[in-house]
Amino acid sequence: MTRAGLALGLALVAAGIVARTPGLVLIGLLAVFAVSVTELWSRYGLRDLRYLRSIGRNRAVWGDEVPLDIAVWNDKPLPLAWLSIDDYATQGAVVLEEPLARSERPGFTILRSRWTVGWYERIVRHLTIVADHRGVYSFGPVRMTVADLFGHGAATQEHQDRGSYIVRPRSLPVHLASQQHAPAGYLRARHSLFEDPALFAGVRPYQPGDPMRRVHWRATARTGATVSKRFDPSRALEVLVALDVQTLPGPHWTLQFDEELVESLMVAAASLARAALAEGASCGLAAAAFSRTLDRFAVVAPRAGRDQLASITDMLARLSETPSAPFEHLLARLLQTVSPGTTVLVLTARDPEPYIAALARLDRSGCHVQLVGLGPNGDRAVARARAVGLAATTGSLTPDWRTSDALVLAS
Amino acid sequence: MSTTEPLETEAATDGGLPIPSQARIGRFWRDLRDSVAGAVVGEEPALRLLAVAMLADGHALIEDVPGVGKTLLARAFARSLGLSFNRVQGTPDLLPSDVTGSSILEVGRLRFVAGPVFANVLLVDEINRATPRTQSALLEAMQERQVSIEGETRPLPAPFLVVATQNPVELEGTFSLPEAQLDRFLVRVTMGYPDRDGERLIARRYRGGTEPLDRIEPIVDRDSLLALQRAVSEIVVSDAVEGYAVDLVRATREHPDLRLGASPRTSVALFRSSQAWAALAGRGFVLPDDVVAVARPVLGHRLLLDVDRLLRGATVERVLTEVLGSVPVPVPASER
Amino acid sequence: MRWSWRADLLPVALDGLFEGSLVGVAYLAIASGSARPSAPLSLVEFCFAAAAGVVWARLRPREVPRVLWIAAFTLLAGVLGWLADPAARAALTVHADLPGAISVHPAGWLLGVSVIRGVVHEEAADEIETSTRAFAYAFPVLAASWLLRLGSGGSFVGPALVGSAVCVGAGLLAIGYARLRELELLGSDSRGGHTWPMLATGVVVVVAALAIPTALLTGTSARDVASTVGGPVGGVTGALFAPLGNLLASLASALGQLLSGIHLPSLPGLGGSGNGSGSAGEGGGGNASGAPGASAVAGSGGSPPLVLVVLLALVGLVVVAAVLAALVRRFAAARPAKPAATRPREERHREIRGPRLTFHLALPAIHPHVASRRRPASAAEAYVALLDELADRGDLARQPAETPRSHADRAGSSALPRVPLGLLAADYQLAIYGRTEISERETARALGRWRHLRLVARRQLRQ
Repeated sequence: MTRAGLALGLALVAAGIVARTPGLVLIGLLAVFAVSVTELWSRYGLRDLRYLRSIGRNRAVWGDEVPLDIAVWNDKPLPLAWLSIDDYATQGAVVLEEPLARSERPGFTILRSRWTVGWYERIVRHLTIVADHRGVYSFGPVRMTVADLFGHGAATQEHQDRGSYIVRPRSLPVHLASQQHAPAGYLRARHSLFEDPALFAGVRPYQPGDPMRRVHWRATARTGATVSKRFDPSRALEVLVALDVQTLPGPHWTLQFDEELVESLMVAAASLARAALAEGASCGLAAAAFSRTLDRFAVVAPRAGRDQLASITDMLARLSETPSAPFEHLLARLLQTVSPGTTVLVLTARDPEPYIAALARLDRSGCHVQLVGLGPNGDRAVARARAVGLAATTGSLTPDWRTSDALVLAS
Repeated sequence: MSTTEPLETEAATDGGLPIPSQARIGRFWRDLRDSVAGAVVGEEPALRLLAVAMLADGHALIEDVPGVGKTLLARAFARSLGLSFNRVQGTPDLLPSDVTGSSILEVGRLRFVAGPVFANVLLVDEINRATPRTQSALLEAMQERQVSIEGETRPLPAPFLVVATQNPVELEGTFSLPEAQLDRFLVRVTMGYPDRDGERLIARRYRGGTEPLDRIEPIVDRDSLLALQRAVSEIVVSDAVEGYAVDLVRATREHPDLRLGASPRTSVALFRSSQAWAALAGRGFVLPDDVVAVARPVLGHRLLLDVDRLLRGATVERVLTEVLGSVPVPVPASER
Repeated sequence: MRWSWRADLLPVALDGLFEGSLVGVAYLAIASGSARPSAPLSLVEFCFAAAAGVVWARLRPREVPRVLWIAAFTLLAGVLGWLADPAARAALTVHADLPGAISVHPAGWLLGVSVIRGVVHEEAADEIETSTRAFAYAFPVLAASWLLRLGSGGSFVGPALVGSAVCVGAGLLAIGYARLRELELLGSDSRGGHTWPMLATGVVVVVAALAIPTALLTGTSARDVASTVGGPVGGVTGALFAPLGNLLASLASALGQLLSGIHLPSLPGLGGSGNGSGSAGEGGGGNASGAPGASAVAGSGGSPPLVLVVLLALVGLVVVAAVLAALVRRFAAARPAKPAATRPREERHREIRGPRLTFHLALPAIHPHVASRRRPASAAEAYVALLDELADRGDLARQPAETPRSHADRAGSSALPRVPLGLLAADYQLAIYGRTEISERETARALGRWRHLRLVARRQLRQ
């Protein structure tokens, strides 16, 4: 196009001279000038041009504002009259100062930035990401386009520069509405196979095979018969939050969901996990939902420690709003994998009738199943669970999951 | 150096005992480094921190993923120093008496059988697998330098260094060390993976079937080591550096990302570690750079992140970077 | 209401100039073929019609159908253009010969086309695409117009030359202005509002730099240009500005006398203006003794002198630039701006790396100026004094949390000599942190290092 324009311009100049028509000469010269300007920017505009994106932090909680700095550096003497940078962002990302434009790529929007950049000039633009929806978001790739100010001679380059951040759900304190509930009444300790050396429970006659360090030497000296120490099994709290993501009745493959209920479930799950970990329990998560992996179920193995809450909330951030499999299938798998004595907190916002039998089986296997019902169907869920002998409470986030300051459990 | 030698000393003495010169301490470090390098590839920063812990009369916690050579490093370190060495594997059924020792009935009399804690260097592998009761017994011994068994108090040998290891990728069945007990460790050491050349060298060393530890000979004796510890405590800490260290510790208590900052005990740990670090560099005084160098290993495991900040991506590393970047280094025109 | 006087006047004017001159040149190509000395309409009418079309479209009431609204105004403009020719009016009113009247001045209907071209710019939000698209086929239309009138006389060449220059210049300005507005709406500060005046001046200078010599070389008469371009409006304007013209003519005359005229030969046979041939060469002496007057501007029986034309052109450029700059300042606040709270915060820095051109010679360091402060007497004081000296050098200053050693490493790897700085820092550390007495000899060396480093730092500062 540039060569054609240049040729056309020169041809007009020549024609004008030959035909003695000053207008053709003028138009030809202007065309040559325009083409030259276009060529200059299209050839050199993208050289020594750098783009840098810095997301303030890669983890945020719903409602946070995360700083986003984008910088462009024109490290050459040629000013850029028009520079457009399209930073592709996953759908749902929100930048406070700039509405993201629609993109030709499915699932992406564009953070479009345009500048005039002087020679050797570096511009930093400070933006703010609003974490207004749970999920995993990313920026990149980046497409840079330079042109002269008249829009001609656009040169484009794409970089695979990526950055991401995760918006975790809120986690709130858990309050018990009834004074009759023990503070940790919804958690029951699991009895370990290992004896706790802090729980001395007396002595017993020595049996062949007992290690020498188990022998109670003072008692042996006193009684004249060799005796071994006896300890009670150690007790460790282990909690698994089983999240029923499906919020509407019907088959699990339905794409319909109640967004408010889904987010309430996520907040409740994070809150219960936080409370369990704060009490020293090992806590894990299981959900029959898509988690951006190939696994049919999303599972975080129970662990203790402060980092475990981060792992659980990261998983909650990735969970889809629709189930990946029937919840009873997840319960069947838990039957095989969960240690006896584990407290399984089942969070649901629908009538548990389709999987109540599986819950009962899990409870009979040695786990302690407790159902927490949320939302309009919470009471019905609790009633159905209690009808088959399961412990159940209702949970509420008042007025809603966005503004509530506690998860209240009530009988 | 492959044999132990009496230390060169200056004229200064400490209660009649000779105090090694800074040059000698510097030479000690070089010898230690060369000796351990025969068995352990490329872990000089971790070894230096173990040396700091030894010279500052503290203990070290090595936290890293499995298979990076934690146990090998501790063994090589102990062997290089010519010290007695014992190892304890943390398991859920480990009893306190398994660590401290107990009395057994022998020929009608009770005889005390010392536990593995009665060694100059005690390696406790996977301390987070032991039960809290056993952890407490060990940590009490670390703090008191003695154990009380059946009413009798028995001192532990000197020098006494506990090197505990734990896997940061906690699995089911572990018991995390409470923050208050983490404070007992002077430094927290991480090792990391070796680079490509280092990993090849490791594989080459084990190819012949020989044990790299067998090549290590002690470079110093016990009495010399004690003298080195005394020398380190004499390293000069100026008022300016002292104030800087205290300011760093205090800054952690005011950081918004932390629920619990470092305690005043940490200031002492920071002083001692800085002295040891300066001594290993062959210097007789502490620079602010020495404080900066030991700040992360000393402070890192003593800081407790606020949960809400943790959920927002806050890390101890970032907190330390901000603290070190914000606390001004004093540069007075005079010492007064 | 999609019209805002303050925000839209300039872009509408540019659109009017662009589209109007484009249609106007085409009109001149068609109308100049008739057997008449000059076309009834001038470029000014077409520019006004195009601008009016933009405004008319934007002022449309929502209740009125768009097609009707536009068609009515277009028809009116077309009729006015057609009836601008007295012969057409006579044919219609006197002879009541409608077909005949239409055939007299059919090109006049292009005034309606000019309105339609203006209507195309109805949506300000789409201005970039609209102007860019229009600009793309402006060149072929202009070229075709010129080709249609190959060998034409001054009645076409002059005005068409001006029209072509105005069309291209206004088109570039319209596109550039629209893009700058878009950049500002997207948060870029457009370099504090300086880009537009620079752009406008650049475009005007380039177009003028190409158009004026072309006009001069082809012997185009300024009078023909002025009278044809202006038409009736030009005549009125000329009368109004006659005193100014007289003054300019006097100045030109005086300058011409001083310089004994400056001749620029025109290309032989190039250009169709009979008046233009050789006029530039005669202009300088011709006006030297002539009485100044309004006719001097238009040329009394001949073209005005070259010097006058050049002077007028330069004055015109300056006036245009000043007007544009004033318009920018006046309408800057009227541009729809985002609320301050949601505008992204932007920082700009200029960092020129690589060899820097400087014509500054370093001052001889024989008698360096010493700041009136207490001289350091020890190595520690010397080091602290050096830090004070570097405190206002952002890149060399010690950061508050930086240790002396790390500062020496950093500053020594950039601008200051590494070894003396490192030694001075080491002396300081020994004295203060190590509580060690520094010997006199070493203190002297430290003070020498301080003096040296201070000089180097000041030299860096001056550069």
